[in-house]
Amino acid sequence: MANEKDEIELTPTEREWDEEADDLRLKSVGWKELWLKEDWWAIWVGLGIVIVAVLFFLNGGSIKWIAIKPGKWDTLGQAAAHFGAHLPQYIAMFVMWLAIFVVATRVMGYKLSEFIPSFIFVFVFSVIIFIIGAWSQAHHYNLEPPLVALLLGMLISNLIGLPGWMDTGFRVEFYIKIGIVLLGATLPFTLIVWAGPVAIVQASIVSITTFLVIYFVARKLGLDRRLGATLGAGGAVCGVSGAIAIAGAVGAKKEHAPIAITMVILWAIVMIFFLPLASRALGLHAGVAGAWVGTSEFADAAGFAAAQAYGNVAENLPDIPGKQDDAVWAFTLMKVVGRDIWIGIWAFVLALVSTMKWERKAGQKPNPAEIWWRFPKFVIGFVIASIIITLISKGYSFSDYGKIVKPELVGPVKTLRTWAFIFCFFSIGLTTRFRELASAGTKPFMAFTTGVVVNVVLGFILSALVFVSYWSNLSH
Amino acid sequence: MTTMKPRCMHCAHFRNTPAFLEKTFPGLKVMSSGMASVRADDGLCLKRDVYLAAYYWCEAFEPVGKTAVAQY
Repeated sequence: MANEKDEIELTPTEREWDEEADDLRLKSVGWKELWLKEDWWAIWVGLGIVIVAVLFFLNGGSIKWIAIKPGKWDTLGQAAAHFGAHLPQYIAMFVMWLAIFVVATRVMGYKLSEFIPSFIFVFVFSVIIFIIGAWSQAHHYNLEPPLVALLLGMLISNLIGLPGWMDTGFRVEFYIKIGIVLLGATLPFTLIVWAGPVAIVQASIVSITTFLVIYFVARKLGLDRRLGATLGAGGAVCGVSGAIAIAGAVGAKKEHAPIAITMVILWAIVMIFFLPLASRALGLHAGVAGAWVGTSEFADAAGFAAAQAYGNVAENLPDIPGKQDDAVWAFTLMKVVGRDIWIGIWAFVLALVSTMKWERKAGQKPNPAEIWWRFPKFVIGFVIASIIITLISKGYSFSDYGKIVKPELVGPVKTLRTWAFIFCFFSIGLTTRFRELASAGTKPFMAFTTGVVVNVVLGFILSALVFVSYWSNLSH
Repeated sequence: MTTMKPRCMHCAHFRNTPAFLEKTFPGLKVMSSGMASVRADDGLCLKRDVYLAAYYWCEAFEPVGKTAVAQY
């Protein structure tokens, strides 16, 4: 007689993983997330770099020697001469990043035999991307490093292909979270206090509207409530992270999360290119464009790519008002402060609705502690980094800040942040394999796309008309 | 004597490691991660094919070890 196992149709994934089932169940991560989750490692790495930079600065030194990046060049000879002169610094910076990541990824359980060669690949291409972006004519051809990184990564992954084990080094979220913590060190805490409430108001208006539009269109089209909520969170809160968090909170079907993930990725990639191009065509102030991207882009990593790309344009083209910092700061305030930090509350409320109104057969009352456990902890590091640098800067006049603090402390941290972002943008491209994405279907596409349209229009009205005075004056 | 609460995290049908979820949900690691805090301890129930929080439970609960996990 055939045993029961033989009679069950298995998917390859389940069959493969079944062999190691006991290793596939974590009872409860709890406070072990301090060393098992990327969010906390982003804090340790990001704050570690900031603290080392501050210690050097307070003792009359700087980490700028190791925080190296290509300077502007007109000819390939100039670019080559730069590397000839600064090669030891690039090697030292590579060793620094590698050492940091080796410790973090090893503790989180990745295989170093996979991570190390993969990260070398990421680093080498990031250097090439940085060089392209430093070309004096790059901005005239839209060769912004974030966009180049993304396109190059997608070309490699979709046309050439890489072995699956290399994904170990393509940790999009880890790199972007480290970048965000480092970004905190370049964002005055007073600015978070001043513009944070505006960001929360604007983001809340757009998030709630977008969620409701996607959810009700999905329901109108006959889609399951849980799929509607998962799609809605993906479009309204924080992209793939929002979708997966809400899928878990409402007990979504197995196929719901991949559908939402596909929708978010496709539209996020479209928006990476569309929002900077539209902003440029409209001649938007960098801060206004950053706020728009923060409201209407779906994932942190994708949004930073768009905001940084437009910031580069503003920095280099005189007809675009504002600076790179304006775009990145406005985006961060809107996305991180206005949207990301509320995911736990969204999850708790929707879990309550799911349990009490949607008559889930199994389960129990949602646990309010989930609000904390789902909180994107890297935001804590971002705020602490901002407070540290703001306190250090407090004793300097505006003039001395520009002459001393900026070049010796903030500038090098910003350079390392840019490297972390490039690792991230390239990794997005390398992991975006269109053939692997789940088929979403027409109805989810229609529901999500309706939300995208509403989101983009509403985001533009709020950023460029209603709150324009805030977003175009961040530097003040 | 201590008794274990019949929660998904203790159930033979539950799978929730980051590597498993990143493999099961293609695209998860493109713009998020199995190791993100927002995911908490959520995982997949292979019995009911739902993705849910680790502290939930249902009538299909089977403690780990009592029933062969290899039924899947």
